[in-house]
Amino acid sequence: MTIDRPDSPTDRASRTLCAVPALALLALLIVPVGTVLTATPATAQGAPDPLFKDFEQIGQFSLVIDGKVQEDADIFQSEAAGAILVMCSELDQPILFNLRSRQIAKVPIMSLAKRPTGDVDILADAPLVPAGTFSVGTDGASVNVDGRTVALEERASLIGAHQADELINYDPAYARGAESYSPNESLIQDLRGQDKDIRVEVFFNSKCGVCKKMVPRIIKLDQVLEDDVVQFSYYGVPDSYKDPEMEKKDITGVPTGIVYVNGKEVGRIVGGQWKIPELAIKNTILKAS
Amino acid sequence: MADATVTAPAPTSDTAPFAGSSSSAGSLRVVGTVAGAFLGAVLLVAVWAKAIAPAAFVEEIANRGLGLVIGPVAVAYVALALEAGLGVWLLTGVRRLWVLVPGALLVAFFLFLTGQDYARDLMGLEPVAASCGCFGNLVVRTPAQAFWQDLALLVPPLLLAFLGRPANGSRVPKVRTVLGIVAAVGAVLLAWKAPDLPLDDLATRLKPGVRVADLCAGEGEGRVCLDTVVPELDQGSHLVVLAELNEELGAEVATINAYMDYRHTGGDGPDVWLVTTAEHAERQAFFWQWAPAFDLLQAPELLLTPLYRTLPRSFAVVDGEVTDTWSGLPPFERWQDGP
Repeated sequence: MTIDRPDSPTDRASRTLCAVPALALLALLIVPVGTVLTATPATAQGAPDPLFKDFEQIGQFSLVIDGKVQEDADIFQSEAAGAILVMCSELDQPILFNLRSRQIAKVPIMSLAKRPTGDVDILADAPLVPAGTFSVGTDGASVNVDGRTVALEERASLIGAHQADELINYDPAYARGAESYSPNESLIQDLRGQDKDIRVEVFFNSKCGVCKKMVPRIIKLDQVLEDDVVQFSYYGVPDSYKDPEMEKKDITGVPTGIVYVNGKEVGRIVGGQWKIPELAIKNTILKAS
Repeated sequence: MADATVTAPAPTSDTAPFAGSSSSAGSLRVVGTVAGAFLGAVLLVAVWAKAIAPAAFVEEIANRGLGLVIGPVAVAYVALALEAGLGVWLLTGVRRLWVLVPGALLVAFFLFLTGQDYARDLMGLEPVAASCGCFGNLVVRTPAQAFWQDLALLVPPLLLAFLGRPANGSRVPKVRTVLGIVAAVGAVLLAWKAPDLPLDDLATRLKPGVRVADLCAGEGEGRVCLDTVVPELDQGSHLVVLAELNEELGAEVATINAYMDYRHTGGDGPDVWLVTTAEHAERQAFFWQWAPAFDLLQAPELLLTPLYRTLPRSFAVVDGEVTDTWSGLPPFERWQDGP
């Protein structure tokens, strides 16, 4: 039986027939590989489910099992499907949270296909096994699975000084956003032509909407420009927007970037000015010179 | 130097001879009449802007605590009626004290409101209301712009309107008095019926042809534009829904999700973005409760308020330009049902 997905009796019958040899093969594969497979979806071939596909890894939630945050959990979301897929060594199988029906289902690891981009699809013939109904609170969902409390909780914001890699590790959405941004090559060359020591300190908040749109663009610029051209650093501010470093540097909103030339602050780039970060930085440097 | 020859409007049955008979008196009369007419026109434009978006005006009155006695709606109707009547009387050259004194009080009141916001702005405080001044949501101005523009637009013509006033004649010119009363009643009727009339494009800054990069609010470091909130709008086709995250919208999520499913399963159509003023916690709660299959993005109230009269309101964007607007949700069936 599947959950909340179009399914005809013919589909079910053929799936059952196919499932017999498949289950035998699955057992042979799962037993020796064990929990390694649980954390790594198979790169299985096959057509993805028409709805439960395009799961992207996200960083905004933590997987909590019996009150303990699972650091090795991989959490994927398909916004269009309205579903969240979680994988973790503590779970014997990946779990699908169907947000629209509020049901969860266990998904056999072999029914997942991981794409080169890291996105995951559930295969069309995946036998999704219903495993309960989850309850929702204001900041997450929880459900009892095999006697254990499995919860998705909102993750704390990234706070303090960080580098771009740490932001990407915190939330892969930063990497996807960076990937989709193409800086202006001419402006990049202009910045490379600078012979000054340029440093940009970016203040951001993990939950701020404009930051989510703008910081990936800055990360892309950070990736494109060599460190000897412009050095970037990132400072995550708490959700309360009260932080000694913010006060010290008189940061009144995020995202704000302080641009330093030869160690001296020459200007700030704020909010929507980050839309074309290479232009904003170039203009800030030009104004100062 | 010879006196300039001034052709004054011929006296009508409502217009009395002037106290002075010299040409300078005639000049004063012309200056006063023109200034009064200008002030009247400004007031009428302001009435129009507020009457076609009465909810925003009522909200502003409520936010300022001006509706305590008879309620903000009644205050809004009285203010619109007064402003419309004065506007017509001044425009038609009625410059009796029973027009100019209330006119002066009205101008003083507007300046008090914009001055209050300007003072708060200078002190680093939030304005009392999201919109600034007497032009409703049609014109979005910073507190400083609102104060100085109102001062420049209203005070000089008001003062000049006192020049060369008729010394005698009919104190209550019948035809024009009736015209003013008709205008006052008309303004109230317009404000009453406006929410049901398709005036969104007229009453707000959001209309076909506008570029999303030009839909901005604030100034300096606080300036934010719609293309910052949703940078993706710059390219491709999109549908944007402006909405409050409430039960009413929750009930509509299934409709939007059905469209998203259609797209997700290979259907062709624009992407959907929902823009709201709701804070992160509110958006998260909505996400878990209703499972929207689309992005919920936050924008400042100052940016969104001038874009709608009632929520939800939605619009289509192609390559950064608004191409269509709708009251409520977009007609998703247009894409789902095919051409």
